Amino acid sequence: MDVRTEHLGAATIVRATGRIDQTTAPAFQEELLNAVTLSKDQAIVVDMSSVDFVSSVGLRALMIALKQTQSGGGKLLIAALTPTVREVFEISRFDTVFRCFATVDAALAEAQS
Amino acid sequence: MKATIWGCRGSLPVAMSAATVRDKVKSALRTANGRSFRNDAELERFITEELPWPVANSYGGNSSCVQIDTGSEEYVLCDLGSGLREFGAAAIARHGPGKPQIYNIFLSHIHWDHIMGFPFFPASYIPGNKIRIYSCHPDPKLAFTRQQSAPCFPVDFSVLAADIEFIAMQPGKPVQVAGATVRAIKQYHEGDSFGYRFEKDGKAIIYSTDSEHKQDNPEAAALFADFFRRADLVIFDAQYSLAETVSLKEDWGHSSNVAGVELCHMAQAKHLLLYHHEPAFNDEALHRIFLETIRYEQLARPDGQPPLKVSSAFDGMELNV
Repeated sequence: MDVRTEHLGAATIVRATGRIDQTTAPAFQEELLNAVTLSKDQAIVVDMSSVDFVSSVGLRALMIALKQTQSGGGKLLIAALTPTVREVFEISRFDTVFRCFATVDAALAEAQS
Repeated sequence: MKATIWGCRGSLPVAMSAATVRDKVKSALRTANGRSFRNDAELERFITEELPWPVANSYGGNSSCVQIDTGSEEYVLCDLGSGLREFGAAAIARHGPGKPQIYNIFLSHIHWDHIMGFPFFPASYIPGNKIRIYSCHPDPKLAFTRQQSAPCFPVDFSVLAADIEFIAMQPGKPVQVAGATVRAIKQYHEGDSFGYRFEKDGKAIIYSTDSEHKQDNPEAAALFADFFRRADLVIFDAQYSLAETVSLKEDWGHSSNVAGVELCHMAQAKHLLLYHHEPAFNDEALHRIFLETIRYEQLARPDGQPPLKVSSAFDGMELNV
């Protein structure tokens, strides 16, 4: 698993790749929370287009980031779920908690609105 | 060993409404589409093979009660929810009221939905029966006497004729009951709850309900994976979705199907049984969760690990291990 952050105009993009599970979730969570801290009130877009699988610990990291973002008045948007990760979101009902967009561009458009 | 589910529902018993029955009948008739059946066998085949499971069946609505058959003449039960009433009637029908029996009960905890069946347990009113209630809580009898005293119930606990004994149990100190070895583990739930591992002849059944598993506590996960290790059957509290357990219903003391799959994978358990179903869910909703859990097991299965069997508990279900 690899995770990187990119600042792009009015939004911060966190791009993850690979499998987010018990082993890799701590690094994913750390990067996410750093992005939340540094983004201030900017929107955060999590680009999931290269994530193969996310387990419960990875989902929890997203939830913590969402709560911190919302408490600061910001937005956290999920973009480009792969079919497998979309299934995981649906099974865990995280699709009812997060705002998910088909593409990063669509999420960025929402972030700037 | 064999596990029989007498009550699979969490928090509160539920009953099927007339409208739900009519919906099931309508759905079955639509599927039959005017077909006629020459005999019962054809009809049974149609019901079993052609009707969707939640149309032809129901998960049921009794609160927690599971029988563990160890092969002994003594009975072993987990929890005394409303499912106990039907177990009690079946036991009386089997033996008759005049033949005393020994009932060994393992209590997960003393919240109402887990003890509410006891005032309706016929064996407790009959002299000669022995009822041994194993619990890791400091004073479980208090909950029983409170629920069975005025003004909550007309028959006071003190007048019950059976020989009722409360036996203190501790995690880490196994007991031998009805030919099985039983261990307990403390679980995260308001007021504490306890899971049990029943072992006999190399087989193991876990009863673990009303237990919240937090994703930020790998030490606790490892502890439970050890407790579940290579179990043949894990009866697991899957009342909420994972999203609920980390948001609105965090710290409400229940777990999810996703957590169940992941813990069973860690433990290399053989069979996960979804249990303590949310009372607000109908048969279709519970069946959808069941199918989704099978899919999540496929997605989450570690490389090289054999498949984990997934089932969803229903009242009357019997599982041999």
